[in-house]
Amino acid sequence: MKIIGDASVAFERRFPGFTLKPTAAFWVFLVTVPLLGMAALNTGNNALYLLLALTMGAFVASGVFSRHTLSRLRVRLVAPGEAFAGAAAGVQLEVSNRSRFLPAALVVCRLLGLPGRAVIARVPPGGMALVSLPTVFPRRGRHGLPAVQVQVRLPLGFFVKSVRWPQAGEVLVYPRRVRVGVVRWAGLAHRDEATAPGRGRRGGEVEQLRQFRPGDDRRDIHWKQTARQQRLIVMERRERSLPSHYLALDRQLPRRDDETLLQRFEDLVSEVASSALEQLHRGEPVGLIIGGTVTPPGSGSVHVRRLLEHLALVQAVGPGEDPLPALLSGEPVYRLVEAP
Amino acid sequence: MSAVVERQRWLAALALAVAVPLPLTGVVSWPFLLPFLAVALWVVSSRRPLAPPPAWLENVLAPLILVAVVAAGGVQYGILRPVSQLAVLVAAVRLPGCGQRSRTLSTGGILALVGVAGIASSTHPLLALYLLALLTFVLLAVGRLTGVALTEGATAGGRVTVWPPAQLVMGSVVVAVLVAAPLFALLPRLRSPFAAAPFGARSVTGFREAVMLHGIGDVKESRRLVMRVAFPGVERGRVSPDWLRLVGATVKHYRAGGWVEGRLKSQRLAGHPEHPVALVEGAPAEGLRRAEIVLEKETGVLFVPGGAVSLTVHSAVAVMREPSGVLRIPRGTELPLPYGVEFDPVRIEQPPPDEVDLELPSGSDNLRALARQVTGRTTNSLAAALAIEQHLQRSYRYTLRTHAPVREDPVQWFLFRSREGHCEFFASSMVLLLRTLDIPARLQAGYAGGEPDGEGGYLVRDSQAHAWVLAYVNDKWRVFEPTPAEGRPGIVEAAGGPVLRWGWQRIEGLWDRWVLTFSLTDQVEFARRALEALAAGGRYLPPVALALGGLVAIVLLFKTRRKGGPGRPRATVRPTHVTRALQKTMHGAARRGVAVRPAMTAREFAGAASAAFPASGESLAWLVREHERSRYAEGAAPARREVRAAVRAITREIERPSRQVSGSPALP
Repeated sequence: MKIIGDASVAFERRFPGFTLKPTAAFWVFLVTVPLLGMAALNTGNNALYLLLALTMGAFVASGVFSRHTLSRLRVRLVAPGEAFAGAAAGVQLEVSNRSRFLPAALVVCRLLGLPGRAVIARVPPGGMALVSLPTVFPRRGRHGLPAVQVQVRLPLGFFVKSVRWPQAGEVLVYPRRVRVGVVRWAGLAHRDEATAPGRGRRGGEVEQLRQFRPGDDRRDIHWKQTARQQRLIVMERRERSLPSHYLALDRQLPRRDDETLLQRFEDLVSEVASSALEQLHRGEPVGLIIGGTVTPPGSGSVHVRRLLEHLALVQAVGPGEDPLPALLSGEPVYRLVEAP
Repeated sequence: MSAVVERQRWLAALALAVAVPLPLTGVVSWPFLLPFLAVALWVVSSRRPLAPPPAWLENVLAPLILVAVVAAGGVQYGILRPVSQLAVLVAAVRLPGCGQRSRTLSTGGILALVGVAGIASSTHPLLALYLLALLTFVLLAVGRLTGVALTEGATAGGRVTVWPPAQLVMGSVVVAVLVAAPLFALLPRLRSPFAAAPFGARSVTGFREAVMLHGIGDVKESRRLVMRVAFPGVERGRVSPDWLRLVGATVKHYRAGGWVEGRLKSQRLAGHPEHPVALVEGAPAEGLRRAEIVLEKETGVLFVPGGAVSLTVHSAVAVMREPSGVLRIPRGTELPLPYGVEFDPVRIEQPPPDEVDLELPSGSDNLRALARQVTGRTTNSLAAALAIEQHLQRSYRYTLRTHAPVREDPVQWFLFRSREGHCEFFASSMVLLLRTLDIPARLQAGYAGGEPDGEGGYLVRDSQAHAWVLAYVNDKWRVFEPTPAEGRPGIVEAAGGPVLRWGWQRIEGLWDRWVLTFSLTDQVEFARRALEALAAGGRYLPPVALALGGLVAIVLLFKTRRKGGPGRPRATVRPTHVTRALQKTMHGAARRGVAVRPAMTAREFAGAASAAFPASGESLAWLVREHERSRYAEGAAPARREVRAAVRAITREIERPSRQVSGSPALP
């Protein structure tokens, strides 16, 4: 066993990432060739010798060309722009063929550790093929990009030859999207201390135009009127009627090393993320409080991404390690409690 | 098109491909081949998945197939023919529904058996092209079927039913041939070359001394090489066809439907190599010709022209001469066997006629009546013989597919019932008809004619086997040819212009010499020549070895340099000094209590370490960024000096005495 182990280590060192898996065709070949050889030897029939030699030659040719094809292939994986745990996400594979004369055909690409398999019919010599590969990231968080395994079988499919291509970079996987129930709003809207005067009102209807006063948000400057009147004119907006709500997530667990609690915490994070997304898609600003970190309410794609990033990276902590702000006491928050 | 349909169509196409040599070689007879071809054509043209026949039908067909194979017979001639006929019928049953995975492998195996049988019984040079075409076919089929199989279960890439690239297919064929050629020469041979068996196995000629007319074989369809004949000093155009009438046996005892000769009075001829042995008594005549013959097939006899007067065997082989004139050599004599024959081109050297040459089987009255009817009132024996010869040529049909009933005299059956037969029937009939007219006659069997080998000689194949008549007319033995022209072999010139003809003959010659009859002797000869060449070129060995060593070193150097290039998988690249510095930092941080998990990314580590040691954040971020740039983005690594400075700054922070790290959260 040790010899086999040493051999596999030596093989891995000599051909890093390279694997060789015999197919059914190989086993058939392995049985057929000795039979054919015995028939040729026993009869002295040179036509059988010719067939035997050509069969072995085809075996060698298959090995040579599949190895050549595999050694000339390069794969780059482009991470998806947005990936939610447990949902299909499209990663893009750029498969390039550095061979000068031989096209690569029927190249199979797999993501190691993740579901998804792409078959590329043909990569021309010196060319590149792009393929979008749907896959599913099982867990949220920041993950290194999965290695891509490239497989070739042709020309005769005696072996599935593959090489592993590690990929640089990371992908941030957002929490799983789930069906949400009643949203537990932390009612901080009436004591929103994080919002400065004039801020948070953007997006309301324009009530009137007036001259700029210090303290006005520069983003409210009406540039056309400013240019026309040669003085700074700002738009005064009506207060938006939509309330600003917070979703508060308590990341303190009663016990930090309890797998069941950790799993439930993941469900809790998914619920918070899904609630936030649903509200944001309705156009309502949503703020997020995770432990001591507060993200003010907002809307828009940048804000969505910010919230999801926080939720993707949040980790459970032990009791007392990262408490929620005291002013949330009595407010509905997302928190795991241990059943008595 | 579904994967099942694709598989069944390709398997049916494979069935048609392996069937190509079957009718040409005769290994499978038409009654067996036709259902096989019909089913294969039906399956290949079907565009929907075919269900396999029900089990009860297969169970009914199985004994019927066995009965058909047994009824066709042929076991006594070897196992290949019955097995092939069994295989084609079984394949015909298995082909419908062969697209199902459970039947694909078994059907493919049976088809492979049929293909091997067809190839094993082929001797034509076109076999090489057929093998290449078959390999191309297999490459295309594997490409298509692999695409279909891969599509099942693929989540991206679409349906893949493309043809494999032409470069890949042609390249594979070329490499396979380049590898196969030396392999063919090096594969060990333990037996003398054996080419296509004459299925049916019974001779249609009498080059054996026993000619049985009840059965018929199709040796005439075999292109197996029997011997090479050359006439030194004679231009090719001046070779008479009669010189190529090579006699194996001269027989005169007709018994129970066959020509049989005893071996009791065998005479041993001197077996010294290069020592001429006289075959006739008396002083040698003038104007003799010489034939150099190389026997390539194990027949057990030597063939000589009709006027042979002396024999010179070029190796030590004991030759026995039997009463029928057969020059017998021991079975298992090493082939090829070269020998020379001096012969009189205008005479037939035969013992004088005796009473046996007039023997007739009982019940030959109708033969006599026929002979009288054919010859009329002529009293000239030569005219009578010519009349019988012409009568047989004109009134009877030549065919190879004749099966004379066992209980009936085959000559009677041929002359008065079937009126068709092969050369042995014609010759036997003429001999008996002549004897009814009191003309002594014998039957001779052997080979007649040949194919030019492109080098001035002739190739004599199985298909040139023939039987003819010797009749003693006007005080001398004469040859008569009662067989119609279509059954009479002669000197065969290939079709086409002179260049094409010469080229084809050359190809056939090379094929016969270096493929069909390639043997252990050739291998030994090759090895001997190679050793001799090596010994002769010994003085060139050191520089050649030096040059080869240099070449290998250059190739290895080139490959080693390429390994370090950016194209190799990342796992092979030695970590850069930035990465090593980062690893060192990680070890240091882990010692100071930062949780560094095995699967932690560089950025995760930077975040954790920055949280624990905020003052090192900037240096850590720089180090991580440079590490990623050099490792993943193929960017140039920063100067070692800068890396060392960053590592020093980080280490300084990490190695400071422990302090309270503020983790208080910001309030909303």
